Amino acid sequence: MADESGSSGVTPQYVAAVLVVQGYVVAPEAAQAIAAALAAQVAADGPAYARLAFEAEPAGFFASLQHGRAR
Amino acid sequence: MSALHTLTLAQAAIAVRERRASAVELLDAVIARANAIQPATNAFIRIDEHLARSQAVIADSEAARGQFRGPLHGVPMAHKDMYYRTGVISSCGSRIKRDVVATATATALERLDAAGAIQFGVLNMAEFAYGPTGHNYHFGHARNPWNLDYITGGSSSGSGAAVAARASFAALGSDTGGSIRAPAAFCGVTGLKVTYGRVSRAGAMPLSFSMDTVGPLARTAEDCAMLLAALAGADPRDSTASSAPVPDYVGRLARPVAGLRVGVPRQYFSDDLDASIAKALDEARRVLAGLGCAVVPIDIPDLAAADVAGTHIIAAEAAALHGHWMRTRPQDYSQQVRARLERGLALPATRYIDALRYRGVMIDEFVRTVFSNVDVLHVPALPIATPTIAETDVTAGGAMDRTLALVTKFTRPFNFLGLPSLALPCGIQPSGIQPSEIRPSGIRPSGIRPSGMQPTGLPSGLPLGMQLVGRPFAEDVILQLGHAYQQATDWHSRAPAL
Repeated sequence: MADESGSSGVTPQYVAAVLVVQGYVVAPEAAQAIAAALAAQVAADGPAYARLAFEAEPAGFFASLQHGRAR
Repeated sequence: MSALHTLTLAQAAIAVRERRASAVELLDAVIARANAIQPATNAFIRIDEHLARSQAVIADSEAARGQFRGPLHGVPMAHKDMYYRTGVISSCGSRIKRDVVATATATALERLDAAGAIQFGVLNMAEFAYGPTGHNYHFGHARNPWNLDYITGGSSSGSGAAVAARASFAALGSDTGGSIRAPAAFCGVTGLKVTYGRVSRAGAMPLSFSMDTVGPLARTAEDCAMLLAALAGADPRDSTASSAPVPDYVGRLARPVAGLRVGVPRQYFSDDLDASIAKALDEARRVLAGLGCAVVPIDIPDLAAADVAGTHIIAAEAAALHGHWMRTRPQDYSQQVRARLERGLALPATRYIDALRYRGVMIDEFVRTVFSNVDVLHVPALPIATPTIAETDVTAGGAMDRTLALVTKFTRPFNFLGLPSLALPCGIQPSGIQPSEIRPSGIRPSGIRPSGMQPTGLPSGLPLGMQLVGRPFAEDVILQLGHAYQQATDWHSRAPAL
């Protein structure tokens, strides 16, 4: 696992618990694999998301797409 | 006239209009070809010959009276099995939906019908369009017609294989992370991923509503332009379908490309890039420069974060769509798809929302910094040479995950950004080189093949692909440039020997 120590918070225990809440049970090996993949992704996207302004919201995509067309 | 099944879509449509070929003759040609290649490629899930033949007879009687429904009058084609048609089964490549009869017809099919096209079958695909390789554990894997040991790419696997093998003049695919462009590149055909919202998704199986797009795979950019002209436009059944004006895509193909600024990114697209693909891209840039384009290097924003954010959006939305079936019928999913859906169930909601919030910021930055300086980006479609079916199988272990990530590395960022991209062939794997010898994973092919098939020899001669990426809703520009490139080269006219 990329970060099994838990600094990202994405541990196999977390994954198993989140899935159980949704009515879905996974084997410990599956939870470990999922946690490894998610931890790696969280580490990769974190710096990008840190640039997000407080006001940024999803609808900005559609406005930017239209604006991009008009340029 | 050439064997009818070898015509391009545009040539077939003109042949019908000029009464040099009938719709029935075209249908006979493609069905004969489909039946011939099906045992080897498994490109089709079903061929609906009876209904298509009755429609072709009607089309011919209309043509005899000088009546033509539209520019695709009498042209037969098959589509990825995820476009619903009232009264017909759309399996979506799954066990769960393999017997479910649709109660509405997809807008895309309605528009092709209105243009005169005739659907004669449905094509193989990744289960629920959630896989980039062409594996399907319910209907059998689609096989690359250039070499049956190799993947077609996915998720529009049958669309790529059937069009490449000249068993359909064109096919609808869908592209959420590269599912049109990967099979187009692996199979040596032309595939168009449209701007998000350019084509209605109503009646098409959803995978990720923020990222899904509907588009064609065909033999040429001209064919894609004809299909997009029929497909594009607003739709009251799909609130995301844009009301932006629909240009004359076909008419604009003939515009001169001299003076277009073609950007070559300095970042991201040279990472993990196979040497043979890099060489083919260099040669393509020389062709574009020879056409009068200004080919210039350009700095681009970081796409690695866009790739991850796109992964999060697809994972979360797919998991939400499949949540009920995942809880009640998990055994009916293949292991590969179930594992990917499980990841989506575990994704924190804030991560998904941040990915969506980041999207607007990123597209704004990308358009501002890139498309204020160039008209089109020229990038590889894939970083790696074609993998085998065996080495991308779920049993292949850890190397599989890395290979799967590489397959979508150059395509998914443009889904995240919502930008249009045309994938088209630009070379052939050098003769005598085993793609596995120059692939990062280094895994040898295992040689799994359908029973009764003869060995095909060394896998040289597999196609290589590139992308032309445009600003939002500039499909006309990338089709124009793709058409000019295909007038100057013949990669698109090469067909597998199958």
